[in-house]
Amino acid sequence: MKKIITLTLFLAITSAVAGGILAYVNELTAPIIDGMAIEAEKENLELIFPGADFEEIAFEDETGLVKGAYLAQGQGYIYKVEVVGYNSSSPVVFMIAYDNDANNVGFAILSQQETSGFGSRIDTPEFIDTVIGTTVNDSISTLSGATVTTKAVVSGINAAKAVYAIHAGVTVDVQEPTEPEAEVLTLSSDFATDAQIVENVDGVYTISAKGYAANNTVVVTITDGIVASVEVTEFNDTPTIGDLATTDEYLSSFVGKDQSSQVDVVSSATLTSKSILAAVQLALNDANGVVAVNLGNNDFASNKSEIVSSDAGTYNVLSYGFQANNEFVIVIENGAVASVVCSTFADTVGMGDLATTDEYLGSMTGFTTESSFDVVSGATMTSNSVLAAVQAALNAEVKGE
Amino acid sequence: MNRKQNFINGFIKENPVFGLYLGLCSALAISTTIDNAIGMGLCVTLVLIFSNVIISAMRKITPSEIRIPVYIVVIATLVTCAEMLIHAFMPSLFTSLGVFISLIVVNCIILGRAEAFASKNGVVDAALDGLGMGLGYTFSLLLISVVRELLATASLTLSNPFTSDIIFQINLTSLEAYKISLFSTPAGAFLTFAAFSAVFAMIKIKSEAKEKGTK
Repeated sequence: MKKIITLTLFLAITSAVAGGILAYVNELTAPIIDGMAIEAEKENLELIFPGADFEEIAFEDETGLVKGAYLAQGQGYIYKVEVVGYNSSSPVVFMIAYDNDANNVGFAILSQQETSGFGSRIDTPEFIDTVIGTTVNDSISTLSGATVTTKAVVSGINAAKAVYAIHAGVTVDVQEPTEPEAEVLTLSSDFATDAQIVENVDGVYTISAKGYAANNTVVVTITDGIVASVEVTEFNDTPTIGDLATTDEYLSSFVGKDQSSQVDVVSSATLTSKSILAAVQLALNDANGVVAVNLGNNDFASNKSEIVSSDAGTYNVLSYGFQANNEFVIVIENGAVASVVCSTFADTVGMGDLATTDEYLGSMTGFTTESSFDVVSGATMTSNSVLAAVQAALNAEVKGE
Repeated sequence: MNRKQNFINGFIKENPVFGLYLGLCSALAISTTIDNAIGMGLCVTLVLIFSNVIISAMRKITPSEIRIPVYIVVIATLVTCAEMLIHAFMPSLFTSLGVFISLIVVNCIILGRAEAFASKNGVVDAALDGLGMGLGYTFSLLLISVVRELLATASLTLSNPFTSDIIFQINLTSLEAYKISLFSTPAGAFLTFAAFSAVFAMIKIKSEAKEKGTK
């Protein structure tokens, strides 16, 4: 009995002494460590409240997304938030600030490795401007084509709002992100998605169309000029994101559509659904013939055409096709096309050059701004570039007179 | 065994890493740069000296039934103090060593020396043993890290842990094209470790054979 008490006492005393030493060292170092944390973050805090006095404050966050909370004396609160968007290996880190009147006064992305051109749009004014100026009770919209990333960021903002509510002592009605209105596209419009017919057996088209990550294979059956069925046989986009656009429900929404029909784009899976739209469009165009494009009214704005030189009705025009500038020499006589020659071809051989055959170019002879042209199926981008070049030359000639 | 031999033992014959294979986890993990190696090595050395001294001083009053928990309390206290001090005064070292500072607690070199040496010897001997073992550990880390940093980055950089200023830097620009980034990964650590262990084993076997011969 005495032994046990001695042992217990010895261990207790040792632990107590150790605890005392630890408490002393902690007291010595804690202020320095806290000071360093503020110092390390100061550059980021200054982005939002330049010249303010900052103090790190304690916070509770159930979501675990909020990584730091700072009080800018007399100005408001700043939160550092980390969320995982589309890129699971590198989080999006941002600072968000609310002033004492619950208005958002600052939002800055500190680091993000999201897909360039899609998720990376959160770091552009397109998204940032929709956040700054909102109050804590406002809902923030996601961006179409960057839904996964923006949803993640908005969930982080909402976590910061909940923490702010406690700090500022206000009640906050945290809103779920609003999704932008579903994009509706007409099947005759151009999706500029790279699609190619692999096989056509009696109206059953096998089409390879570029989605988000790679080509998806879509089988489209056309009966009597309208869509009878759409099936995705090979899916190479992101699982759980892109496949929102390959559900039976979405694919069956195409049944009965013709070239003038309108179809919704699936939010979060914009690029995959566009690849399916492109495949359906290609199949419809191939089965029904291409919708004629009127040269006078139609603006090929996506094709950047530039008249390089002109001499008495002979125009040298650079026009952007599928992947690069094609160059055309166009002769206009009396307001009508006399000849079109493709002097430099820079698009895909075997695809784009379907639109630079002598037959196709020759078919333009005699056409004016009032004429309608056929777009060459399978070489849409290149033939658009031809049309844009001809249009530019015709317009220049008409305006010149 | 005299004191000098005690001290030198830690380097070759009883080198904790290459000879006794102790403390390998942290040795392999942090030996990517010489900065880390020196920082970790000195940190372990200090903890080792203090734990040896304290345990040796307490050896007569420590009841043998609870000596292990007492050792652990002493070691954990020292390591936690070291961790807080490094965090406060050497932030860059703290960031690069990360969790391995707290893991010094379970570094078997320290508990091993406490049990095998400090609990049976006087304070001065224990301190010398701690210094020798600690420097032996530092020396081993330095060997591995020089090879790894040189092969993986074609340069060697030593910086002041208090200010992060660079003290010296060697850039082997001619070898820039032959960098082997494998050596910055754990696989590289194992390769380097195996090569050095072989060399140390060879030295040990030779000297033992010699001793036998003289006897």
